[in-house]
Amino acid sequence: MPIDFPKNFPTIEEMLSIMQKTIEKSWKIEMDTDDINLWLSNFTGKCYDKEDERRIALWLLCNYTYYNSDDVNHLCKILHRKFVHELITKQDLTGSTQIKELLKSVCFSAIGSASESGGLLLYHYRQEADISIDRFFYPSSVEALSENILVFIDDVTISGGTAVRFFYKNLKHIKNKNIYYLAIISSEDAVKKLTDLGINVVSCYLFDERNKCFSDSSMIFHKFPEIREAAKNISETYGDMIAEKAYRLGYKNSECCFGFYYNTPNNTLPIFWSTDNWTPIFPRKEKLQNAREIPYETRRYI
Amino acid sequence: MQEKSLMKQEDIFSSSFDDINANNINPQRILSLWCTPFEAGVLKDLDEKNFRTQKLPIVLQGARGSGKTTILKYFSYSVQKERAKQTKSQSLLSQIREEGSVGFYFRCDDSFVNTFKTIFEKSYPDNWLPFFEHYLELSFCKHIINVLLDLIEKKELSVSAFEDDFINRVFTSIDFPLEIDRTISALCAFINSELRYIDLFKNRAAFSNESFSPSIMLKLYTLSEILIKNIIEMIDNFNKVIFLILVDEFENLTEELQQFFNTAVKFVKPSISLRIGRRSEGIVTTETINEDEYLRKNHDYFLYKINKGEDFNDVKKYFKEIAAKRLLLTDSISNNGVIDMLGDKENLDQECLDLCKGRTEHLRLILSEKTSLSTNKELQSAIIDVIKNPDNPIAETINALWVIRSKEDSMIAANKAKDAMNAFFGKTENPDVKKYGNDYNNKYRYSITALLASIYKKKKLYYGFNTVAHLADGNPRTFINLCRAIINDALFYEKKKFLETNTITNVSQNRAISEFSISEFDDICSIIKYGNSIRNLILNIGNVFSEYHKDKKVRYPETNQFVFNKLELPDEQRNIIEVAENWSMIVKREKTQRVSVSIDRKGDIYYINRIFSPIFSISYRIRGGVNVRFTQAEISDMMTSLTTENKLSQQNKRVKTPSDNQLTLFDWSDENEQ
Repeated sequence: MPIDFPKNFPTIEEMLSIMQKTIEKSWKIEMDTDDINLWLSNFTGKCYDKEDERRIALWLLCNYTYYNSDDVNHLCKILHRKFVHELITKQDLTGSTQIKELLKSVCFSAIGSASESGGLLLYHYRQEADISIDRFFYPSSVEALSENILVFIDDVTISGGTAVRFFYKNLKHIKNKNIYYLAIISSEDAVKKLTDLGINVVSCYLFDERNKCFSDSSMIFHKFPEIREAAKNISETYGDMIAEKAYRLGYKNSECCFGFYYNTPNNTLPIFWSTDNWTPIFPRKEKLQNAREIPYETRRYI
Repeated sequence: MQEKSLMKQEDIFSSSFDDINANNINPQRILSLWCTPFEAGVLKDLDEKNFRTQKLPIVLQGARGSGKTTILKYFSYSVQKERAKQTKSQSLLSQIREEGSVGFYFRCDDSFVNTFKTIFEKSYPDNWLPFFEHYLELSFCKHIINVLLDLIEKKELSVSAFEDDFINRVFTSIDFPLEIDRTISALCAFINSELRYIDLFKNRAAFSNESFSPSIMLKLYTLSEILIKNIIEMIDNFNKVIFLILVDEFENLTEELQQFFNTAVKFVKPSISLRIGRRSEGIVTTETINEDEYLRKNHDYFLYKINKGEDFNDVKKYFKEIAAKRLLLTDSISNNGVIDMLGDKENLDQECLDLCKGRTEHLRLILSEKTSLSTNKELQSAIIDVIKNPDNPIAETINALWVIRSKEDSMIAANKAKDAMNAFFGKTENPDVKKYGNDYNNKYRYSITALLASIYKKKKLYYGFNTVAHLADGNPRTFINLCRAIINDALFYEKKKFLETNTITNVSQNRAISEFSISEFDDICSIIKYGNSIRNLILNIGNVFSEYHKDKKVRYPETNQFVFNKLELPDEQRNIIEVAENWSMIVKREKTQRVSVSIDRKGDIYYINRIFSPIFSISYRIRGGVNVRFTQAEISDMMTSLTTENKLSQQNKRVKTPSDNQLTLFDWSDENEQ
């Protein structure tokens, strides 16, 4: 079945030209038409005409936000500034000396285990914030710290689940401290859940309905609302084939359309990241929760 | 994309073509990318030594991106130090001696100048210039002293043998505050603190009523001349060295500052000279601060224009060298040179074959232009059978043109054209073979390709090094930008092939060139004063040329120049033209020429910047012949809205349509054709 595209909807060639400029000027990664075509070849006409599905997929890719390492650095810089601003207002600080002194007694850590991407984000943050390395701690050692201000840094919290679980698990040890949760991107929902736990949330970017790919107020389809449903249908159909039900449109229907150079969040549509009989354009490196999940061949060497 | 996502494109292909703005390039990079423009066409009448050591100030005039900043920076002290570093056997001191000059680069940052003026004018109305002079002199002195400190640090100058005597000589000439220690470092620290004071005052002045009270007020050359005089007297290697003030972006200066610099040019001191980089003549003054004194070219200064009147082969050589230097710095592709990568010249025969694909519609359309053939389809078919040459669309199109231009019976003309064609390709005798060869090899090749592209609703392709060099129109920045756009396009659309073969297809080149052309046009129109008027004007003029290129009779091949009388224009329109010229949106030919083939009068001839040719699918080559004339009213209309005049039909009324077979009208000599 063909999709009735609006007259001014860009052609494949026009979108490839946009992609070329986006990759060259903004993403700055090695991606060419072969990579894009390989990814587009996943769309085989399960819902609509094959070419129409691919045109929609390319539109989604044109609207994908990719944060490269320079972007992550920049976001970390903004995050730190916002955090310092929060400290100044909350702690009633008056001068730069006071701020510097206070920062010397703040402990920074990631959410999750040390090997996860939070650790990488901490590295970026430390570079941009110019904070001494001795102020950074493994998440597992945080509970033993005597300092009063603890800062946890994360890239994304949309449902808020991971962060809330982390704090439930650890809060009893740190409940009398000032806890800050710094996230590059967070949703209003996640901010509320965490604030209810007494945690101060600071984020660079607040994710809302407009950022959800297929919401009524989606910015991606603001100009072309008539094809939003078709796009959702395609994403769901292929999402069902390549991801678990909870992830068909991104974790708990987050409908996100972004990723970082080091990984792609599971909130993002799986058509971008799934590797399950699917050639991803931004593959996601899944967390392996325990040794049983590690492939047998590898487990033998542990 | 798998793990590749972790790799940045710049890691895989470190595009050395990304550095296009000399303002942001470090000295080491300037040196590694340097290709001399001297004695190479773009600055043919000047050599490096002369530029370094000429006592009379030199003004370098060139369009945006012509390389003024690169040239001035290349002669600056910071790049000189790099040169000394790279010549390992050479000390800095002997490098300076050998080169015979030390240059200090100053960029006229208009925002800085305007802030400076506003701040000091607030406190000292009508008398802010001495403060700027003071600031400039301090900066100049700081650079001079830094040279000494560098030489001391490198142990090429002995402090003990030099410092006391030098400092005594300087301190006895100028009344410095008593508290300054009598050492070179203390003098340097004092100058730095005075400069810092001005900067702080500038920042604070908006918020306070503080008055400006420096420790000392200097006029230009009061301290610098003393420093230089003593350096020359006391250090042997500086014996014949001159100190250059390299002033860039002169056109950014306010009129009074231009007058101030003009005075400095007119009254240069011994061992000090100026090198000034500026855009076009129209926006600068030759006045000095003395009412009766004006700068005179070749008397007070030498003027050298970059890119003007250069030989195209020299430009190609220069561009080839620029590309070679940059490709050498790129790891991922082997450096076989830009010609191997892009191909040399366009293959118009192949392009036409690809356009026609064996079809004869173009022949029919051309033949229909002749009244006697326009309705006789049968005769058209018979003639096409005679003149056709499906393996060579250019040749068969020339045959069709010969038929419609001939006064003879069409079938006889067709047979004559066919015989001339066969004789030309078969290298046999025929009275028309010479003319046929000229038409085929030279005069109509490009026009016919453009015409066939328009007939078959395709765009004329732009590709090959020769084309890129033509489109860049002698401008290195445009050339580098085009190379960058082409390489990036290839890396996206045909990376595997590109990295394997180091060649880029015509399709990829054409796409990159066309997109660059449009974006350059849009970018410039969006930032310049009168941008909308200039946009309209150029689009309208371009459309006129486009119309000429679609002429099925190919009467005025490759028409892409225009004439108008600038003096007829009202002030505002003249200003618009001047901005368009200043930004090289339109370019005035260097020499006045006969305004058109049919008019025996000389005048200024203009063309649209060649880089915009792909927007209109028109020729980028410089040819003589017919130039389109625009009246004041037409120029005015074209600036206001997109109302392209039908100039081709007007041209036909004005210039007598050449009688059939009167091809001699266009037998002009091609001026620069490649």
